Amino acid sequence: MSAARLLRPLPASEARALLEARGVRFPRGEDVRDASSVAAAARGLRPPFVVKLLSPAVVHKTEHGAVRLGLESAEAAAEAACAMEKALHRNIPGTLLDGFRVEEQAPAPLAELLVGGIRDEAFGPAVTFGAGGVAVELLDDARWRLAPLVNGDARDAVRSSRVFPLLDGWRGRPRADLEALERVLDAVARLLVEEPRIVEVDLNPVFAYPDLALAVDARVLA
Amino acid sequence: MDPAPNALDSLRRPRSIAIVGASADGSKAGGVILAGLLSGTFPGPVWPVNPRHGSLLGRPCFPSLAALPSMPELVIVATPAAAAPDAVREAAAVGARAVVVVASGFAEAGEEGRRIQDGMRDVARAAGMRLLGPNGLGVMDPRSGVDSFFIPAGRLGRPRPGPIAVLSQSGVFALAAVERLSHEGPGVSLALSYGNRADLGESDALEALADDPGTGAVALVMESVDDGPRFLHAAARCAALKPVVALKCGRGEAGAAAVRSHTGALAGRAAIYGAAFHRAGVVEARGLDDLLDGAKALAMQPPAPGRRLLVVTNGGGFGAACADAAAAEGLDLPPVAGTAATALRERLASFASPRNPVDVTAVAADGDFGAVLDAAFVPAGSPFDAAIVSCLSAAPGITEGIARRIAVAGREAGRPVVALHLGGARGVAIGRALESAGVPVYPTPERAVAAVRALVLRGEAVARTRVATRAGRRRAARHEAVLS
Repeated sequence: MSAARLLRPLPASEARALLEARGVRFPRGEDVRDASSVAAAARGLRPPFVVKLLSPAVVHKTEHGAVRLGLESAEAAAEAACAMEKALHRNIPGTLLDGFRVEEQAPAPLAELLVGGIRDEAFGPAVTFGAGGVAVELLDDARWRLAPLVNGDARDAVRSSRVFPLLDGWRGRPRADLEALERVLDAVARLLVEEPRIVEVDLNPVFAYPDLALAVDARVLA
Repeated sequence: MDPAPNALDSLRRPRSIAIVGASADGSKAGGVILAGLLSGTFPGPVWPVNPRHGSLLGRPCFPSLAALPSMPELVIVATPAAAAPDAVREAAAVGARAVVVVASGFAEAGEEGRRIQDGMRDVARAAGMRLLGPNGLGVMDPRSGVDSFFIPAGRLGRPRPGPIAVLSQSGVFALAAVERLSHEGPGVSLALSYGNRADLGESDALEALADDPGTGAVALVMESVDDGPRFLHAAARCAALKPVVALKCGRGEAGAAAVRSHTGALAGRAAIYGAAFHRAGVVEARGLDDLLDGAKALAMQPPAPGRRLLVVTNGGGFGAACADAAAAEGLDLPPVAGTAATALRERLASFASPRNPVDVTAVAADGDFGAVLDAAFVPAGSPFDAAIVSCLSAAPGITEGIARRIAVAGREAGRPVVALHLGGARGVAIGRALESAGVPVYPTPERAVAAVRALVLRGEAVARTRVATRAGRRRAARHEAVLS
């Protein structure tokens, strides 16, 4: 039995870079070091904005109020950043603040998915696809496949998920770009196979659209 | 021609058996095993070993393995844990090829037990002797008569010889499987309860069973895996040749915690086992019924080439229940259409519309079921990949003859049929007739549909392997072209 290793999350920018290099698309955005730089960053992007507080202490952003959505102006974005910083110092005093990420808010998707992976002690890297969002643990829809993926694994994992009908033209809505979702799953698989230090990857939610799949949040543990 | 020798040969077909810790006391493991072997069909010598007795059950009893008239190929150690390591050492010393240790109190009990268990394993390996157990029921081969399961015949059924192999890390699951398969199903080729898996485990067994002509389907119960890559390879190789269905025990946190203490091994994440089974072409069972119902179907019927199900019933409620269960399992029930529908309309007064399930009504006779299958399921152009025949055999028109009718239709179609069957005292005879004819029987709509699901998953696994093999051959051909 191997000794327990301390897992740490990679900085969001590094996680994003590893995934973007493998074809995963994220919303357009910019990282800034402090709240006073948020407004300028926002002016280079299209509203509405999302502002995320970046701190090693904050792993699940929605639980800590470390993400603000629907900000209609650069000023609103800056105000949100200041408010989150104050709240952070109040709730977790003495914690490090890495900065903020200002992003274009992704429009409402056809479905929210979870795409992730782990390095299993017995079977090695494995990846999963299923219904995502905040209720992910309640929905329990994960389909797992061993990585590297072979033989239609990605296609099969997407199509056998319980959320698939939402992706397939639900009640007159358009079909989602299934190949784009398969590519996200494949990217996570390749990342785990190619980077042995990585132990867990969590993309939740991934937003599915008719012509695109967008990773809205990403966590990579090593 | 005899198959090449494998890891299980000395367990399944030894020339001779010695029982260390043998007894005349039917409440002791050594007593049950001795009595069972002596009254069973094992053709070779059975030598009880126990320094406290000069004879047992009318046979000479020997003070030690060294005192035996010749080398015992298989040694069953039925002593308590404390005496087992010496017995294993002695077995190695006399040249036994395999040893079964049934006692508990080893790795599952703690670090000291793990140390002693590892010691037994090392002794066995140094002597080139295979070790099964400890903390398991050992081996049961109905064809050869080898049986180390220490539960007397009055309390545990003994299956007849047949195609299903049961491999189990859990003792109670091994017992449950053996007991059920002694009452239903096509019979058992081998039951292996390997417990703590000090030496022999599921990978060894899967490798051996892949080439075993007497095994047509494998049912596997796992709580943990020792060597993931080896298991994947062994399972894939076996599943390429015959259906394998597996149940991972300890799915949730609570179950997983129980498993961790049960055999002293790390359980691993249950969901990842699903990924491993999928990769290896193994059908995953969701519980005990799913496992044994699936194994039965897989041993008796061909895989289903798709998800389209035909249900024929003489009880409307069961037809509807099958349809509901099928929807929940992702199986389709397309309507009966075209020439089949026309034929049925002519044949059956009740067949007013091309509905599926097809309700032949309670007055239907054997021939009506046959007519529906002949018209809708047997023809090459039939849109159905599998059929469930739901026959309440208490109905007046149903006789044992229905078994042959259904079995023949299935064979002519080349696609699987299962029976959902309910009936009283007469029903038992009809159920037996169905299974003797090769049609697996299930007592509820949900279980009949789950059995079809197993056949569908096997069909999909076979198709994936075929694609992989073709892709592999194409890659090899391209590689060849580059080289030449």
